Amino acid sequence: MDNLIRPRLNDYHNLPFTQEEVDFGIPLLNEDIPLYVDPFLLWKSPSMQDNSLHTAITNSFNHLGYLFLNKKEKESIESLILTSECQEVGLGDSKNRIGKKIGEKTAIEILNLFKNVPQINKAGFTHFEEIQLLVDNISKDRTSDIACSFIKSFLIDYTEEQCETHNIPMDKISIQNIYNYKLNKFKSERVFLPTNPLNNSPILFVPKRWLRFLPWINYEDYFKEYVSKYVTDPARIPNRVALLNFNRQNYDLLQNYTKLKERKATDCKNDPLFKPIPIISADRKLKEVLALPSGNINKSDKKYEDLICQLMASLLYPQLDFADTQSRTDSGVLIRDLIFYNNRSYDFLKDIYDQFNSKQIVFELKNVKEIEREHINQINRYLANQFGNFGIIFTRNKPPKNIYKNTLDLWSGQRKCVLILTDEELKLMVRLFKGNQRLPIDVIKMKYVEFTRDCPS
Amino acid sequence: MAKKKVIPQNLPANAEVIKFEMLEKLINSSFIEMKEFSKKKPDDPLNKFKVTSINRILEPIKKLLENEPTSSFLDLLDEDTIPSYSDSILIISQFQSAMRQFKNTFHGRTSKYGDDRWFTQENPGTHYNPEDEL
Repeated sequence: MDNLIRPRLNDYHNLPFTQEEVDFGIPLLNEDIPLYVDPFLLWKSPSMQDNSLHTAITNSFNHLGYLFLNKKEKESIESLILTSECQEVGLGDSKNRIGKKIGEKTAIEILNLFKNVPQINKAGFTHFEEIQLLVDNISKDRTSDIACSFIKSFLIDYTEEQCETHNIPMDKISIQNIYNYKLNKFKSERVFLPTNPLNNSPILFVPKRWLRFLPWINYEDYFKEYVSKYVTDPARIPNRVALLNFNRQNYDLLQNYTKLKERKATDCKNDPLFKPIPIISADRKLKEVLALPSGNINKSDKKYEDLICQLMASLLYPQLDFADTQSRTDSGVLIRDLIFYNNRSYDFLKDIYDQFNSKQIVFELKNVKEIEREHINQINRYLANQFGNFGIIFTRNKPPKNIYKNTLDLWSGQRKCVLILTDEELKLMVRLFKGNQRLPIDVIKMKYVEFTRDCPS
Repeated sequence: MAKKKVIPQNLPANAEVIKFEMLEKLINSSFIEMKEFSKKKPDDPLNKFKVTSINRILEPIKKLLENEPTSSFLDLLDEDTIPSYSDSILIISQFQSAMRQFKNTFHGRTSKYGDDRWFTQENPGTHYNPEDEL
């Protein structure tokens, strides 16, 4: 497991499903998914369940204000601090799945809104994400974490249900700070949940339909789409803190912005975890690749690697989920690889998983005129552990016969399969991607079938 | 002395002939359709459905012609190698030629003024040869 590149929960448990096939964002084990729960998506969702959850979140948040206004400042501050981080869901941009709570000062600043803004004092929030536009140091990750903390109980049930559907193993584990909606109190409970094998901490799943890169109501959008239209004189454009101060004193203007966003709710869509490039862009990238000279003049090798990386991640989606690019040095040469999770979502992928023990698939990129024996040796040395005995070299031209024979010998001697794909195959893959008649991954399958037919029996 | 008539070996059965005629119609219409596609985009790949449905026709033909000398030239479409429309046209036309060869061998008239008919196991026969009458 330690060797897997960007391991996900299902890779650790050897469960063959792809991101496309499941309802939740598959959590990464050692870093966060760079997406956030947008409470607005719950508000606008056609599902009554989501709407009710949004109401519960807003009510719970407003309850903190109620406590703050009714001489229970300490309790409300503590509660707000507790809700400000929900690391079990693993959303955000942390590189180690660990986040920090807000400080007391920021918590008081937020709760003071209930005291100082008359409209909020009277009616509370409808979209509590507005706090991003009212208090400094509050951004998308905070609103996402607050929302998740208030509905943690629901997320536990959801996670259990998904685990049962997809046979994900669960452990009985203690989970802290579950919000009790009836008592408005936090408590800990022992429940069945999947755990992170790296540190035995509980993991919660979040439905994909709630996730966005940026919340619908956010500071950047507010500034660009709303404020900058009213303030035309560049000298008078306020800085962030001044604008937040202004908002606190002119909440009605902010309410107008929120109403505007509510009216545009139909445009608010969740962001997919991976978005393939459009066909037109694939075509353009192919042309760029074909026009690139081989070798490393004018950094063409780097350009080649970047283009192939973008193309492959999209062409092979959704059968193969892209994991990462990785650089390594072998005999003083820098090599860049593309790594995909092998989820056995296609017949031949299952084949290579079973036969070559390939849990992740490695593509080595070589912008050279002619592939050499040394290149084959480099990938051969690399094929071990999670990659099993299967690897792909992407290069520009058809390999000479002796090199192809070399790969066949590698199969005869060590039962390792190295496929060599060239510009020709890339063209075919893009054509299939455009034509929509067959899957681009079939080209890799074709090479694999050709290879197995040429292998001595 | 009249020469002894040579009856062709491996005559098809009546049932096989009926099957042959049915398959002939199917393959001819597939050929016409594929040719239209091929004119437009000869290098475009066939999708899996087309490959399977063409193979469904080619397979029984290959079986019917297995004892013929042409059989070694007949290959089905290989789904794994992503055949293009022009590939499929080539394969289908080879099958059509093999079928013509089969028909030429086992179909014809047995006498000078007779009608064309199939020479089958149930109703054997040979092609009319004017020299036989000499």
